[in-house]
Formats: sequence, structure tokens, C-alpha cells
Amino acid sequence: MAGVWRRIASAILLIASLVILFDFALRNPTLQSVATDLNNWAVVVGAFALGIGAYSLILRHGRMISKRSPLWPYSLLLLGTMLAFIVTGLATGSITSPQYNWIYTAIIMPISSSLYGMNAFFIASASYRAFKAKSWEALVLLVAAIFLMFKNAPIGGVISPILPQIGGIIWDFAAATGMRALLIGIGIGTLALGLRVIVGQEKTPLGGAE
Amino acid sequence: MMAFRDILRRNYKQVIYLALFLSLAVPLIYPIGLPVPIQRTTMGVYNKIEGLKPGDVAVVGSNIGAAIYAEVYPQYIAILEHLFRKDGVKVILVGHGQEAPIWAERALGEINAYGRKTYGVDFVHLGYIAGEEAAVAGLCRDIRALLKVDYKGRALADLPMMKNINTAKDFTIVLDFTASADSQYWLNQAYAAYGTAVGFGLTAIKVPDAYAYYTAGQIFGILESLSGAAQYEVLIRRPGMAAKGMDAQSLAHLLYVALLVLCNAFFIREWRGKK
Repeated sequence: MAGVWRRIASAILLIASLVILFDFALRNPTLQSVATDLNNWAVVVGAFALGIGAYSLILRHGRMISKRSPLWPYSLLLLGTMLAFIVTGLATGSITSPQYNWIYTAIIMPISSSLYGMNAFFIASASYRAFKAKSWEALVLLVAAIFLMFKNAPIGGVISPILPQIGGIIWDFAAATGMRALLIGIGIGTLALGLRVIVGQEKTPLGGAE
Repeated sequence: MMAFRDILRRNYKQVIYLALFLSLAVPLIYPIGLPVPIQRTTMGVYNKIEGLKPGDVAVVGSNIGAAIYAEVYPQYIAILEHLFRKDGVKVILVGHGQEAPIWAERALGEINAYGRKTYGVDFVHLGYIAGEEAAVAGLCRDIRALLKVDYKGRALADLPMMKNINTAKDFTIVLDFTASADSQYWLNQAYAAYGTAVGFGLTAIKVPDAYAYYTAGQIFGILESLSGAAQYEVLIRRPGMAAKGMDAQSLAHLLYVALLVLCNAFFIREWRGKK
């Protein structure tokens, strides 16, 4: 029975993919209308996915609280905060209301930006601890990093106008070229994966990967 | 030298963290006023907006979040300020990040958008749309098939500005502000499919892959992190929080370089000692 369902799902996937693909190439009004509907369904599914995410989060952490699992107070804190945001949002009718904005500015902003800002301290400590020129490759990486830092901060040009210029050359010729090669590789990989999905060779989207 | 090295060996984290804290805090309290050189990626964005004519439509992707606001929000403010100075240019704000409406409304308030322009005539806020790339694709294909109302629940049909805006063909430019791979969405859905000009405002970590598209001529410009915002503030003559932060960033970069040099000086010394 599972095999039948998988074949049906595979057929739906194939038809939907071909509609979107041909719509991109042909610009036919009927095809366009069907493709737009399919695309808008994806948006609706995306919105439902948010709800499912919230549901599974409540379920998982609710279970952790009821079983008094290790670190359960954090689960309680998470669900409490979530509830506070949901209630405030629903009661005020908007996430841009002054009340919602206040709790967002007082809770989310300081926590998120502090966590992100801590990276600066970890990078500083790592620069001293780990970035050693143990090989010629590491030395090249180290020198390039120094020039790029001088390119990105105004202090580089103040020390010497040559520093950001060298950084710019590394950026334009080495970094951009390498990144473009990487992006083309990713593009070809995505294309191959897309084709595998369309012809039903890729089982993961259908929940069949074992 | 030995004493300093011993202090570093024993308490290197504390010393480094204190040095970094001072290099960030002192310039914010006592600004040095280092010059801010303008990069061509920033000029690309500035020239594109400067070239907009009355009736042109600018779509601004407001995918800012609390974690990245220090880097991206100053860019966003500077761009909106520039767009709102251009007479007759229509601005559409939209986001596929959940926090987008909060930052969009905050920015509109900060630049006094509601006081200086007419909502629905000069600008529209479409809010957050779920579905990631499908949301962007939907906006590019047919806005009305995807959305019936704006962020505040007003029917799109009642907004005069939206009368002739239906697909990405009607967008003159798209500027997306983000920190993740979702910048690619507009490139895939607006530039590749409709040829709409696309530019980005990004965090530093996201710049390298976008730069590959810039050198290929597929995007018209990039605002690179806080430095991009500072450059834009200089260009539009509206010094803000980014310009203030550049001195701090410069000193922090200098500290990183000093730490790299110090680390390798000790490493070479040890290596020679072993030899």
C-alpha cells in the first residue's frame, strides 16, 4: 500500500514540477494560471508549516516538562515566553503594536544581538589561539585575511592606501573567482537533484529515504 | 616580552576580551572620525536609486531580524531615506522573514514616512508572507493572486499606487536586506525570470557569494555590512549609527591583525626554539 501512495505522490511531484518548469520556458496563459495556483498553494503550505512547527515545539517541550527531564525549567521558560508573545500579539491584533514592540525590544533584541555580538569575542580569541601559519597554505590564508581586514575597515586606508588596494585585488580575483566556481558547482548539483526528484529517483522528498 | 607572554598564556581570553571591549567602546564614546572610503558596490546601489524617475517602483525586501539588525538595519534606514527623497518613486515594502513587519514599521516611523508621503500613493507595506522562495515567486508572478490586502488589512484594489503593479515586470528595482541565502530568491525569481534589476544589503558573512553575482553584472550593487551602511550615510549626507560604528570596527580589525601577528610571532619563536 505504501508503494502505491509513493507512486501517486511521485506522479503529483512530477506533474507539478513539469508545470512550473514549462511555465518558465513557454509563457502560456493557461499554464501560467495553473503554475500560479500551484505556487500559491506552496505559500499556504509554508504558512501551515509554521503552525506545525509551533505545535511540535509545544508537544516536545510539554513532554519534557511533564516528565521533569533534565533542564525542564528551560522548556517551561520557552513555552512561557512563547505564550506571552502569542497572547500579546492576539490581544493587540498586531506585531507592530506598542505592547508587542516593547516585549520584542526588551527580550528578543538584546538576547539575539548579544549572542550574535559574542562572535566578535570568539573570533578575537581564535585569531590568537588558532590562526598559526603552520604550512604555506595557512600562511597564504593568513596574509590574505590581514589584507581583507584592512580593505573592509577604514583604518587600512589610513595606515597605507596600498593595503586596501591589495585587499581589493585578492577580493576581486581570488575570492570572487573561487566563490563563482563554488556557486556553479552548487547550481549543477541542484539541477541534478531536481532532475532526480522529477524522475522519482530521489526518495527523500517523498519520505522514503531509508 | 616574556612577562606579557606569560600573562597572555595564563589569561589570554580575559586580556583579549578586555582589549576588544575597549577597542569597541572607546571610539563609540570618543569618535576618531576616520574617513569612510566609498566602495563601488555601494556606488552601484546609490547610482541606481539616484537614476530612478517619477513613477518607477522600488521593492524593498525587509528581511531583518533582531540578531542582524546592527549590521543591516542602518543600511535599510539609509536606503529608505534615499528612496523617500526621490519624488514620485513608489516604494513597496515586503518580507519573507517573520520579523520583517516590525522592522519595516520601525524604519518607516524613524524616517517619518507617514508624515512626509501618502500611504497607498507613494508607498505600501505588504508585511510578511510565509513560504520563503514561493512567496517571492508569487509576488513576481501575480501580486493580486497571492495577496488581497496589505499589512494593515486594506484591500490592494483600494490603494492607488498598486493599480498598475501586477508582476515583477512592473518593478523597476528590487533591494533585498537579509543575512541568509534567501537573497538568492529575488535573483532567481525576479532577475532570472523577468530581468528586474536586483541589489542587496547584506551582513558581512553573506557578501562573498553575492559579490560573485556583482562581478558578473547580475546585481547592480551591494551594501556590505556596517561599512556599506556608513558609506551610504556619507553619500546621502545623513550621518547615522553606521558612521559612528566605523571607528569601533576599524580598531577591532586592527586588534584582530595585531592578535594574528602576535600569535604567529610566538609560534615562530617556539618553532625556532625546538629546532
